[in-house]
Amino acid sequence: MFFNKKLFLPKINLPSMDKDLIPATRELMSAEFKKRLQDSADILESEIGISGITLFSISTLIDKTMLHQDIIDPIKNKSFDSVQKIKEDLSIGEMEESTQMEKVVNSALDGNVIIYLEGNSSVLLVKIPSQVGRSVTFAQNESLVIGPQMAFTESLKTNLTLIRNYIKDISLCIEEIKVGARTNKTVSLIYINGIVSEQMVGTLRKRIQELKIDGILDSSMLEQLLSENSLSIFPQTALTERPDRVSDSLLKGKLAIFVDGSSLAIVCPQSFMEFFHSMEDSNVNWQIATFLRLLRFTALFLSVFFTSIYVAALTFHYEIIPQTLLFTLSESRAKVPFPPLIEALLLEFIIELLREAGARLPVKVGQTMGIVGGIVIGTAAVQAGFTSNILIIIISLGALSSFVTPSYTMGNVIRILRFPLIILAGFWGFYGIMYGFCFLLLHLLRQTSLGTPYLAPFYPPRLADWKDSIIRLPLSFTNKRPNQTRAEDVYKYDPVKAKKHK
Amino acid sequence: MRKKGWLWCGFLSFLLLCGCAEPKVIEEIGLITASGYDPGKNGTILGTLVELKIDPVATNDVVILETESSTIRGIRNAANKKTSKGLASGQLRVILYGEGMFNKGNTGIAESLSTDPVISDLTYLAMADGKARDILQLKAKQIPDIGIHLYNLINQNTKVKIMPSATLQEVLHNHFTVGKDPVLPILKKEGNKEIAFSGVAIFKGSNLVGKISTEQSFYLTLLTDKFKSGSIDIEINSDSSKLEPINRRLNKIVASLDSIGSSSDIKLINKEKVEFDLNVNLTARLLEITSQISLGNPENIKLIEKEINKSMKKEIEKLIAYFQSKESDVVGLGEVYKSSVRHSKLTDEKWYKMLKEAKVNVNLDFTIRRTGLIE
Repeated sequence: MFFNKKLFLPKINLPSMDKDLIPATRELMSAEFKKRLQDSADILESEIGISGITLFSISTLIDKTMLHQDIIDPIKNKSFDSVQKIKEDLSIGEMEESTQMEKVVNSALDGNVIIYLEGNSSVLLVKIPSQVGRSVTFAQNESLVIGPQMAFTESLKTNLTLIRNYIKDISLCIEEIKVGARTNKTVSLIYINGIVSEQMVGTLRKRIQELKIDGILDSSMLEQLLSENSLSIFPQTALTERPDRVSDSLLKGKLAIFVDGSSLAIVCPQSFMEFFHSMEDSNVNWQIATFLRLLRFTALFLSVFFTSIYVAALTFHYEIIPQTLLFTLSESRAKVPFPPLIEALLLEFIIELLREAGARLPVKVGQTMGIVGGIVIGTAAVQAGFTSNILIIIISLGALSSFVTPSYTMGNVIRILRFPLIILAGFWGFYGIMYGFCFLLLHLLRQTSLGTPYLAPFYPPRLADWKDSIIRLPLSFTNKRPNQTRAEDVYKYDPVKAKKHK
Repeated sequence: MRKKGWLWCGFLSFLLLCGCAEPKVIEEIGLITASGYDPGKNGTILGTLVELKIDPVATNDVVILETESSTIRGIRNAANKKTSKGLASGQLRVILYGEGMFNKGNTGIAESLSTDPVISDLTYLAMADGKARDILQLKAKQIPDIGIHLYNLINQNTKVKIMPSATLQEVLHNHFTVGKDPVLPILKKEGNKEIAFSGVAIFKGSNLVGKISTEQSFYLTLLTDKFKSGSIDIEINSDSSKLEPINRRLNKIVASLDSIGSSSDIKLINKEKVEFDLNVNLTARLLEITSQISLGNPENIKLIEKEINKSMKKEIEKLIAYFQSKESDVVGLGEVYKSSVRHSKLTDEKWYKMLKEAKVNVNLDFTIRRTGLIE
């Protein structure tokens, strides 16, 4: 609308095809290898043994112990006349022969050692990547009381292992797509064939393949690139660090995307309601799960509307204040020098400051923030006549409610939404709040997640799915997969058979 | 183009919103919690307003303002001159009319209030026995805020149905309906420190035509409403030898009833010569009776039931005869007539004539559920 689209032309010099063969001599090979990798300092070239075997690799990407024990050791005292012979002597799982220089260089970037034997038109690629990264740890952002405690790590392989451990199914599909002209990230698209809608897989695969970008570093970035309406404040796909959550979504017929080097998985399609579901809901009794979900939805409304209702009631609609509250409210307001709008905005601002400071500060300092915030806001501000103490209760209730949301991305949105609503309430009272509410509702109604309606199952109404939305009925009631995923295999289990075996 | 449409819609609706709200910040206004109206000099209205004015420094938060004006709205404007905070009537809970307001056939008061959107439809209306001003001016230690006190008094008594419910909405509805007339509870200042519910004012249209006592108010509620709980002392006029007074001092028999449950049903049985059947079902728990009769005997219970039935029926008949003589239809017989007869084209004048000649058969079915509980 506002900007003219500029044609994007990648400025990478692609080597021509005729140069793509393996050079015949060691010197040529060495020169070519170095040239293609910009004569990088970490290129390792070593000649071993008597038969002129040379190893090329990028030393920072390979496992040195394996290099010494499993490659150099078995071949250093022998003589070979062909690459195939070397292959027989090595005891490493991932080995490959290649005749193309392009592939050789790229595999070096993946952690391969190139075994070059002069006079051979092919080289041997042996994969011994270095293991950098942390081990599987506790879930930090989406912690549960009851349920598995594992979280994804930055290693794509580990993450896929975790998923494979949860779903030991032959129809679990893992597709690999490379994204980013420069970062060349491996992006894995995961789904269960037979459950998932083929159309959705096609759409998502195409969307990922068509990305024209120099690099993505994390899945959260990919998520933004994949979303249908990038101007919307609401996240349209879920980001999760929990393998059980991803597995649960896969079983519902959803798709998951992993990015190498990212500890978050993207799950889609995702409806608005599902952002308020926690994995704990499935792990506890349905009555408790229903209570928790109702609690979260109440918290959502409290968090978004409570402060603005306070501002509107005190600025415009004194009629609606209950008679019993009238006295306490106006007495605490009487000392405050600001109008309710400024008072509320100020306090919301302080709370946001505290939250942001708490998130950025080191853990040890962060704890003191709570004390500072508690004393400064809780007591001093009221005594100084800065704010009324009822507003403090309301604001802290709203802040607390916004942290109840299991999804961090959605929690952020809820906190931000309060500000425009407070301003609307301060200028136009309840009319303003209604205006804001209608705007939000219309906006939410228009959103889609991977082509499915965002407000499902409420709009369009899909009564069968109400059983597992803001309430959760027992597992025996919910034998169908959600309509939203358009699963090809609709039933989780045969309802008739299940009744018989009850 | 579509995007621009959106922008315009948003912009225009924002502009339209700008006219909507008029800021009234709570600490900058004086809240009127109760108001009273009496006839003033030369046909003006003497208004008494109870203002809740919150000031953390002041010891007394309630201010009583008195002004005279020709109109109800004018009272607020005149009172504004005397206060430091602008008066607002959105928290008005009780409106009290002095008896004098109705004596001169003053009408249209409730109507003028109902056109003010900030005044709640659930505001209680009441009539003062004497001057409204005297009640609102009452100064007593146990009543720090007369407005809240009156509201709680009326609210509490209306909920347990000792008082007939007279909110602004109900009074206006009964006033404008053909075939039903409003009632107002009467509040009376007792001594220098107390205010009490002392009776019910009966209206014909908007004219005060009669009063009934608080005891009779029970029967009126029996006819127009349903009891789910409540208690009453009822006097039994009986010549049965079994029911003798317990002592000589109190020379009458009084039964104390509790957990009253009732339902009533009015039916038109003759359209030409207007005749109504009034069926009332009443159940209650007998707690106490000032007689030496043994309550363990089922026959005695039957007897008491019969006697209470008789006395109550007599009271109801007396009450209806009183309403008919005053041409006031607070029970709502006219509404029943109107809904039973097609194309009746009932007007107030027509109905008041018919009401005088109407025959009402009262059928009361009273049963005692049980006789008290032993601790």
